[in-house]
Amino acid sequence: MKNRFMRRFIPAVAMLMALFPGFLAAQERETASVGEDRKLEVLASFAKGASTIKTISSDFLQERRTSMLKEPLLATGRFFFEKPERLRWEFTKPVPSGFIINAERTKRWRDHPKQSQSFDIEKEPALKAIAGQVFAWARADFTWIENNYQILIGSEDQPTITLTPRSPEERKYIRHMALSFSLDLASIQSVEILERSGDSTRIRFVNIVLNAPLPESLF
Amino acid sequence: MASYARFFVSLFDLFSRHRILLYSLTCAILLMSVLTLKKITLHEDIRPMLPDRDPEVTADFFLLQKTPFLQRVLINLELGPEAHLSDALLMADRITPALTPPYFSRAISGPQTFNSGELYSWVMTSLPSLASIEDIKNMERFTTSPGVKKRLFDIYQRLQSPEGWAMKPLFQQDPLGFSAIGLEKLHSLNFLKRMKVENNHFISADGRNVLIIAETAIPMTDSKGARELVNYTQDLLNKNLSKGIKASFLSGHAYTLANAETIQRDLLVILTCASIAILLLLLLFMRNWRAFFVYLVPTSVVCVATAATLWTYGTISAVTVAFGSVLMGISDDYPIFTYFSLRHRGPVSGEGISAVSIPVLFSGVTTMATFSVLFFSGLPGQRQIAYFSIVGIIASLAFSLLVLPHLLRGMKKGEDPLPIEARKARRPDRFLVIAIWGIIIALSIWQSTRISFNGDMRAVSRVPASIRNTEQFLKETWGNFRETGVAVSEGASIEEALEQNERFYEHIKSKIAPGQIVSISPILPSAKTQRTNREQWSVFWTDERTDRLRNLIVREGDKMGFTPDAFAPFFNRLKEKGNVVTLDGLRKAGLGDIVDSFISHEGGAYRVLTLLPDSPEVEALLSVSNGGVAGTRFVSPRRFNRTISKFMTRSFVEFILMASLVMTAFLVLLFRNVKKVICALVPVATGLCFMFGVMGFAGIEFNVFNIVATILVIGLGADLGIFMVSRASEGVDRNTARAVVLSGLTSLVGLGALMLARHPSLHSIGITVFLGMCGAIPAAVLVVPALIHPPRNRPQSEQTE
Repeated sequence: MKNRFMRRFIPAVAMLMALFPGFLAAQERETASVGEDRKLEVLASFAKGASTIKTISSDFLQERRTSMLKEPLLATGRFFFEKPERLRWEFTKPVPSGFIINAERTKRWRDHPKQSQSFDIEKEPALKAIAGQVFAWARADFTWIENNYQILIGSEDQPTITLTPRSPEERKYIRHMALSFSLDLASIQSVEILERSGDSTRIRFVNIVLNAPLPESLF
Repeated sequence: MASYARFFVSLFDLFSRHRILLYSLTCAILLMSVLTLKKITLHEDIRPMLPDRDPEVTADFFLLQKTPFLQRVLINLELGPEAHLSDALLMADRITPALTPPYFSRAISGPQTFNSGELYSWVMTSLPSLASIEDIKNMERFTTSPGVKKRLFDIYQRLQSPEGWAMKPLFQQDPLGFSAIGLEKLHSLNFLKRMKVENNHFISADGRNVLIIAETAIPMTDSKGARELVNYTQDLLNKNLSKGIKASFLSGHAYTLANAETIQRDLLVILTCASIAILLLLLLFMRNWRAFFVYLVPTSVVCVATAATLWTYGTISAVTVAFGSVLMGISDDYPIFTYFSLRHRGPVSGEGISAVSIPVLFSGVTTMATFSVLFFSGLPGQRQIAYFSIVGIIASLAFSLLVLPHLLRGMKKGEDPLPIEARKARRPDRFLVIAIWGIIIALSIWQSTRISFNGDMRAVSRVPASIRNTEQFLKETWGNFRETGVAVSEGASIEEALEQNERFYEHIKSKIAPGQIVSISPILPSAKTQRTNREQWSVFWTDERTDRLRNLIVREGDKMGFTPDAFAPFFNRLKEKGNVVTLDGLRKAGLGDIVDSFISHEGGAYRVLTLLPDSPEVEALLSVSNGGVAGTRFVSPRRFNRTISKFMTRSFVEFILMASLVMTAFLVLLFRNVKKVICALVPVATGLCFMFGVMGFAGIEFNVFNIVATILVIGLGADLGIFMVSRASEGVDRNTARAVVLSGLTSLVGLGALMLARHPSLHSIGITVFLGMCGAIPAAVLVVPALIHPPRNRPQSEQTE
């Protein structure tokens, strides 16, 4: 039962992780790779689990640290994903805002979703990276992921997945992004993004629900 | 006259003794002509029909060719109901890299790759050079306390979202949104009004079309190159076509190819039909194997005239070659007349040739004189047609009077099997004929007042429905970017041209609706203006003002939680003088494709273009009488067509008068009798009236090619008049009468063949001349005898007077 849960849960978390253009542990640390075999084992586990996931919904808490602000910027929101290419990322506090990517259609809003406007995802590298990764993880397209990111699987006593961008464009902004699990891999603890400028963002996911039907109106 | 007669007798005797030499010379001329024709390259473009002696028209035409997009190939990918935009984008990404040399020099499906950060950065660093004093004054509204508060709060909100994370450097460099001033200036480059850029591709406003713009070095007038380019593009689209997507493309080359293919097909049809029909007519009327010798004359004449035109001009227009059928119809008159005359006289002799040479030469000279007025034409194509026709007529006269008689030797008198016994039919009542003729003339004159001129060269170009539909679709989808007026600012250096362009932009910007002017002036001011702008920037951003703004931002920012140094890069920028805006800088910022379309360097002159609506209002605004702008020339397709139309109207009147005068002078010289001259003019006058009348009644517009047709009607009508007046008044034998009928019919066939053409220019010549001849032939056959013959019941003594 636990294995079955893990197979479904870990890919879901990976997709959540992929929401961000860069991940970084709060402190950059030298995480020892545990070898290619373990990476293949974990990725295979993701692939198997990803095939069973149709939808994900979750709440999140975000803490952003930037050199522009004296204090961390705290925000809460909701995340929705539906295969193959539907994504909704929504902040509820302090400022309602968000964006939706539904295949080719894109829209975003400030204050209220009813005031949404379409946007050119090509001009939003951060959102493009998010969508690209979420959808790649959903397809379990590790070739695409490996082509774009260097993947580092942490050891069993330090359960993390770290992605380092390969593209020079993305590397201008993102140093790396990391996903941390509890020691027993039963739950995700945090997603952290470290930017090249030194700014960082930490997101904690709570109330994750898999494969629940999502209303059409969300997208 | 005796010496004239002796000349032909002597010539005949000379060549009778050296017949081999005569045939050898003739064969040599024909062989040289045929060999020359092997190297023939037809020019199917419309340029020969544009005035080349009017510097204004020539300059306008040259500058119109510089309009962005006119020389480019536009490929449109239209999404079907089931297709997704991503399919079209993928298709565009497959096709664009394949648009390579030798057919294409460059192709783009979107703006040059750049990230918005670089563009913003360029705008910010260039702002001191770009911002005018008005722009600087506008900055003040950004720097008020409420304005600063609003902007900082906006930044604070954005920092929470992923899209805001990537914008941090922009927030730091431009917290108050000064870049909007520079970005606003970029709107002046928006020449595709219904285009947006998404996913780094050109997308139509409705999101259902993707555009690829390709440059080619193949000239639009190169029909061979156009064929290869069009075929390559079509193949490429077919191979890469995605399901549910419709691909189409538009370029001047497609028009060139359509015209070239149509004209080539027309040439085959026209020349074949005219050749066969003339041969059949000759055989039918002559019923003699020697008819082939007569037939050889017009066919040889076309070869000789084409070769001579090539030797003289280097190139030959397809319209001129198509005129070959007309030339056949005209030039066979002389051998026909010679044939029948010689047959009437019995064994071929020098005296017989001398006798026939007078009307033949006179007819030929009259026709040549009529054509010669086209040498005064401002259209090179018309001059070439005149040369072609005159050389052909000279060759026909030479073959008919010098060579043909030797080929016809042995022909017996009275070899006349043609049963034209219908000649016994009753002659129609002359008063009835004259009355009907008068009514027709009156009706024709009345209807001819409705005739209109169309100077639009597109009216005489072949535009297949598929191309017309594509053009219309692209116009509706992307905006009417191919039919705009162009203002050209010229200078000996790029700086001079930019200064001129700037003066022009300043002159028009407040007088033409915003968004209607497409100009590079706002983003590429002259160096002088940039220097002034930077000085004004420094004067405005004094240390005191900068410190005041810094304090305000720090104070308001502190309230929201911003650190004191959050916007340090912005204040550092304010201290800088800014970069000089250059063409290279614009290219690096990703604007090279657009900017380069507006600047050209040719013949030692730099030209900067501004696109404007091609409307009467803009034309009036920029007219010289309204002040205009010295140094900038406004060229409008609408005005260009109007100029051509005016030119045509003027030329038309001039040519009609000149041709009529020349022809009348020759008729006076020939007949020396007012009545005969007037009678000889009847076919010409009737042909012209009938032609204009039917055109006015049917709503057929007069175009540049109809001028040639009118000259033809005058020339051929005069020929008929000369023959019929001669026949009716001087009792010419029935062979001559038959010659007149046969030559009229062959002329009609030769000209009528042009009506089979699909190309509007050739078809319009055909239909016009056909109408003219339909009026001229009955007038010659019926009206001239009715006018010239005395009434039957008059005494014989009166009739002979």
